[in-house]
Amino acid sequence: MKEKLETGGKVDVDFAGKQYVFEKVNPFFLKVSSDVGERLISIEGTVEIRVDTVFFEHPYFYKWKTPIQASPKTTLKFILKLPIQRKLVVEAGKRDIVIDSFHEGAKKAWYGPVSAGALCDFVVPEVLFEPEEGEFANMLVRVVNPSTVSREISRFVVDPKRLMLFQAENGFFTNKIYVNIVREGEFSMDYGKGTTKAAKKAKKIVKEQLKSTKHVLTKFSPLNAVRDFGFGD
Amino acid sequence: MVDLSALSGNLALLENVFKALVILVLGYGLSKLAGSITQRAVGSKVNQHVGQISRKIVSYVIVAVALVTALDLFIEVSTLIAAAGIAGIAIGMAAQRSVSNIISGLFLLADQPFEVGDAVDVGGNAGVVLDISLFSTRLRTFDNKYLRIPNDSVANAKIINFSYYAIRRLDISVGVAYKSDVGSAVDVLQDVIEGSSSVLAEPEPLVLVSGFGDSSIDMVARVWVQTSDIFTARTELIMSIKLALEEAGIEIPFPYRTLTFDEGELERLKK
Repeated sequence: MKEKLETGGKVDVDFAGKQYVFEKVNPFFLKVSSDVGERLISIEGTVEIRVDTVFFEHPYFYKWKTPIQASPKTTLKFILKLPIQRKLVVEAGKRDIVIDSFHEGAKKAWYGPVSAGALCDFVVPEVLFEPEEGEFANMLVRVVNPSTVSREISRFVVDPKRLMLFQAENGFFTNKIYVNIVREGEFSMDYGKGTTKAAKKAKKIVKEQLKSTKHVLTKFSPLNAVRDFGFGD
Repeated sequence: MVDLSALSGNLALLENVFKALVILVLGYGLSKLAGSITQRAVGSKVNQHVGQISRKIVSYVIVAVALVTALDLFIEVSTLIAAAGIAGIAIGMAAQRSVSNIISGLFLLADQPFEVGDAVDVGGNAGVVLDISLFSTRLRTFDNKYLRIPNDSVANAKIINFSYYAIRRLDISVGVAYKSDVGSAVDVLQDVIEGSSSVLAEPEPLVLVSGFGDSSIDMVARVWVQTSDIFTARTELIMSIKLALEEAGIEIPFPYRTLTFDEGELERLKK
């Protein structure tokens, strides 16, 4: 969605169930009205109102209630639902002003020891069988078990800074994510450079923000009880 | 008749005054420059507060060196230092507490038990740290009072830093009546926790049945929340738990005693 607004112009926008009215009252001010109230923004010239699709600010923490078993020397391939955020943005020249943002699911999770870790957005993994369009992206996950014994996977963390977002005719898609099982409770993550062929006429809309190391070790303490009770790291 | 020796003496004095002024001005300028470079370098590597202290120390040292160099043009500084040594002992005796505060301040800066902006409890005084200087630490208490604590007291006090870790464990204790179904009560608590957006999904929340109380079966909900959310999370959880238990028909009992009197005693009380 993209709307241009010139002096004297007015546009109604429905964003996340809220009604916004943008009015360019004179060459210098834009009036934004909603149920919450009114605000005046000092912007000169023509403005553009658009909705951006972006990743969450924190890493995504995926956790299955029942762990998934990965057979020896196999790669499990599936598509997971990746919630994405929408931002209502006013653009004037080189300036971007975020008017509102919306993302579903406010639950957070902590990754790492309680004394030193990172705040993440919690996501219950939901496997998709067909690419879909919606308020989420199709995250292409490959779980690699290189060992000769069966291993299980219950959780992993995806860094949005290493994700790319592609807009295709049949929905949003990310780059491929490789979850390599190192040992029990320990994974390394690799982030691919491309998306799937299933994405029809894919156009990259969010570039990865980190170009350096793409191989990241993810480790969950096997002594969960100790950590959960707060007795140790 | 012009006294040449007096004139040359005056000229030498004027020259020394000029030199001293130049040294002082240069020293002052250099102290500002070196101080600001030090602040930037230390501030970016450690933190802004240590950067500010380092700037002051570097500036004072340079100004002191400039002052001594300028004084050296007029008097024998070694004699002055010797005299200052004796005076220093006297001043030192008087300023023992101040020196102790400075040394404690330096220890605090090195140890960093807290930073400016942290919520702390220093020896029973709780508040937000406003400033850590060489002599004292200043707090704004939670009921909005200004509190200045000498650094030697801070260094020797028990310090609790509430802001040190980003997440904290929150324990909510609740008791249910003995006649209640404990399993259902645990389920109710788990549902409330799961539905709360303040509670972190990981580390996993726990509901423990902790013991037989005087009037209730005691339970504890152990959850992890963001430190910044701890007060709102506690209020929200207590309210939600009470409501959910009421809706499920589970009684939260309060202590009560049944007093039994024998007939004779009852009659006596009635009279």
